[in-house]
Amino acid sequence: MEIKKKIILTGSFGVGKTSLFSRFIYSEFDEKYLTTIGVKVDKKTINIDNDTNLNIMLWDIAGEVAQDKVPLSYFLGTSGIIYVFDLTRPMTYNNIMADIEYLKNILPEATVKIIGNKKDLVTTTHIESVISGLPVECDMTTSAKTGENVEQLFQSMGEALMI
Amino acid sequence: MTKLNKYRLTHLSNSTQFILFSTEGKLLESCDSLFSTSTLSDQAVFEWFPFLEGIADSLKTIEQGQEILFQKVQKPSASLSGAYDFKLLRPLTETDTLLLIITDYTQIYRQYQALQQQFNELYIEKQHMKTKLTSLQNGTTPAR
Repeated sequence: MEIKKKIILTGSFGVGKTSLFSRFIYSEFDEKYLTTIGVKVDKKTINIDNDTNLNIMLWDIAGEVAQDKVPLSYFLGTSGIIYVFDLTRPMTYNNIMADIEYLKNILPEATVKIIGNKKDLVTTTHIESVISGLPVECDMTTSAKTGENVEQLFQSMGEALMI
Repeated sequence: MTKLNKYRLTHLSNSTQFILFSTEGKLLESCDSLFSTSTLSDQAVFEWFPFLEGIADSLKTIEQGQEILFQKVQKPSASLSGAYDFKLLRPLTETDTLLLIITDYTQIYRQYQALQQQFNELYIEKQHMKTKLTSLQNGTTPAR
């Protein structure tokens, strides 16, 4: 059985959404920061269990300082939301509560995963300090640069979408 | 005058492609201004672009007269490598038909991206400096 689901990567700019997109879809990483404008979409199939493949339509959405700045059309038909923040930049998670509430309001049925990216740039102590200070639960920390937890992120999202 | 020509006259542009297709995704007509559809007619139109593939069910529910605009879609397919706006609508006179209007804004969006890049880099640098300053004031080690 093959199932298609749309998953979006969203969050502030420069947090590494495109790097997570490229790491997952193409197994690539580029050190250079290149701003995304609008949206870029590609797909990848992952195996959920012996009988089920999930065809992920992954939308890499241009970063905005607040989610209410993202065009509503980009959210159409979304099953999964990956909200990414940068563990090294407080400004990318200071507004996290309002952003998540906004997303849950416009996409009440969608599964949400909150991700702290760029874990390769900070210490474990710093990560623990950031996560414990968040008003929402952080589901995972990742590094698009090293690939740490990237496959696990999409696998866990895929499995959550099948429930 | 065909229906497609009527729509083209309304929104005439050399950088715009008009595609009429059924709600099930079967190609009805295309003006092929941006890319040829001759080798794609066996596939559902939704499958031409990964971004439409993921939202096909939602698009089937567009009401007559309703429009959905997707701006700044980057490299939407192998045959479209720039940046485009996609407008989808169900024409008032057609019940089981969708009209897709693709407009090539690659040149404009390239300039927009260059400006956005400068803005974002400055903004990020400012945030890092602010974080470092706060850390130094508090006598702690900056995160990076």
